[in-house]
Amino acid sequence: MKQSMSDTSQRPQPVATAETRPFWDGAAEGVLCLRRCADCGRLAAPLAPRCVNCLGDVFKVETLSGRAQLKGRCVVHLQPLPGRDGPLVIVEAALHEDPRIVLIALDETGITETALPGAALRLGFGPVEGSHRFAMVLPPEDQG
Amino acid sequence: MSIVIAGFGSSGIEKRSERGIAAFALDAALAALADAGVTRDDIDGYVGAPFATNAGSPHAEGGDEISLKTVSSLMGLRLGWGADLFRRYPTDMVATAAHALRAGTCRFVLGLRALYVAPGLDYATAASERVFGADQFTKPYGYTTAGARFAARAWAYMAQHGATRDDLFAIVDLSRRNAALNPEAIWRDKPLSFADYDRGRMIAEPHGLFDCDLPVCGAQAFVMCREEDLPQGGHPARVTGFSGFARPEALWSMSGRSVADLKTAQLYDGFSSMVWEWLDGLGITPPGGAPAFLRDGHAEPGARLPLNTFGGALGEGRLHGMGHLREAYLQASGRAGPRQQATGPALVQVGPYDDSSFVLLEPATV
Repeated sequence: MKQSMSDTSQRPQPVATAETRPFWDGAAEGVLCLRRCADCGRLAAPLAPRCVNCLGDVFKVETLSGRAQLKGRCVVHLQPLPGRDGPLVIVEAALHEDPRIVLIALDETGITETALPGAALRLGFGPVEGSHRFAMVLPPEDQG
Repeated sequence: MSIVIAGFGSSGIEKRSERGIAAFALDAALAALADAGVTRDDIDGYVGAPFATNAGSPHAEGGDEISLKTVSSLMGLRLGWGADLFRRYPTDMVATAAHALRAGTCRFVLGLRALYVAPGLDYATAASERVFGADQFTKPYGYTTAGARFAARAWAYMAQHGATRDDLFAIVDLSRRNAALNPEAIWRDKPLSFADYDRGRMIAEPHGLFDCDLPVCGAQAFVMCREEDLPQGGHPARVTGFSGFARPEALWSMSGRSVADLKTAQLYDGFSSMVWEWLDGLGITPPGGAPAFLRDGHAEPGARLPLNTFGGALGEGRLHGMGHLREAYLQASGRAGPRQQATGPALVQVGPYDDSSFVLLEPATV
C-alpha cells in the first residue's frame, strides 16, 4: 500500500523558497541560473542563504553556460521515479563556472555511457513534468 | 581523567521480526548493563542516535525508531541527563557521553542504537508528491535511492584508480569470512563465492546486491563511565580519542597515537566501496591504494591492519556503525574471543565519507 492522499504518478515536485526560486525560474525557461555574491563574486549553491565565502547576502542572478564536468555516475536498477522503465542513469555534474557546485541530473540518452570522470558535459532541462523542468544531460554541441 | 566503555551488549539480529523495535532495544540495554556490572538504577545518563536512515522510513517512534523518552519510560530509568543526536553516529555518541562524564554531569551513561525493518514498506525508495529543502535537488532524480550517491562516488574511485568489481568482492569476501566468527552476524553461515557475488542483481552500479549491507532488526548498547567508577566485573576499554571528518588529525593529537600504532580498524561499510575512502583518507594507504592493500591481504586477520574483524555491516547486518563500535571495544578490551587480534589502539570510523566521525579505543591498563 502506498501513501494515500498524494499524487505520486509524476516526479516529485520541488517546493521552492526565496533561495531556490531563481534556479527553478531559470529551469522553467530552460536555462541554468544561480546566484553570484555581489560582494566577493563567489557563485552560490542553490540552497545557500548567504555566500559561503564572505557570508554576504546580496546576490545577483546569473545565467550559466550549462557546461560541467562529470564527477560521479551510477545506474540505479530500483525504479524510484514514476513513469520510467528500466535503469536510471544519474550523474553528478561539477559546474564549469565553479566545480565546487555539483548538481544532480539524469542522462536519459546514453551520452555518458562510456564517459570517464572529468568528461565534459552540457546540462540543460527536460520537458515539463508536473509543473517543473528538471536538469538533464544534453548532447554535446557541434564543434564545427 | 580516563573515560571508559565498561560493557557492551547486543540483541539478536534478525531480517524480520514479530517483535517490535523496543524489544530489541531493551534486550541490548539489559545485556550492556549486565556486561558492565551495573544495575538499571545506576544509569543516570543516556545518549542515542535514533534516526532511521532509509528513504522509505516512516520515522515512527517505537515503530522503526526509538528515542530517549521511550527507552527511558519502558526501562524505568531515572536520568539526570540524556540526549539523542539527530542524524549522527555511534562514534558521536561516545564523544558526547565522554563530555558528560568529564563534566561530572552523570556517572553511568547508557548508549543505545536500534534499527528495524518495518513490514510492508518499500525500504529503499519513497514516492513523494512534493519535495522540500535539499531534497528538491536530489529526489526528482532518484538520487536518494539505493545508495545512488555512494555508487556514483564508487564509480569515480574505480575509474580513477583502476579498481574493479573483483576489488569490491575482496571487501565482501573478507566480511563474510570474518562474519563466520561472529555469533550475532546475519551472514555468519553464508560464505559467498565470486560467482555467487557476481550473480547478485545490480542495485546501483557499480554496487550489486551483496555490496549493500542487509537491513535488519537489532540493537546494541554500551555503558560508559569514568575509569575510577568502573564497577566490579566491568570490562573497560579506554576512550583515548575522537574527532570529526573535517579534522581527522584531532584523533591523533588527542590520543598521542598515529596510524602506525593501530592494531585493528573497523571502517564503515554500508556499501562495500566505502572502506576505500578512509583507508586512503587516514593515510593508512596512499590515495587510490586501498584496493591493493585489500588484494594483497594486509587487511586479513593477523595481517598488517585487520579490518572489520566482526564481518562489518556487510557481514553482521546494518546496525549503522554500532557493530563497528562494539567490535572496536571488544578488540581493545581483549574480549573478541576467536576474533581477537593483537590488543592495542582500535580505530572505529562511522559515517559516509565526508560526514564521518572517529573514535580510538585502547586497553585500560588497570
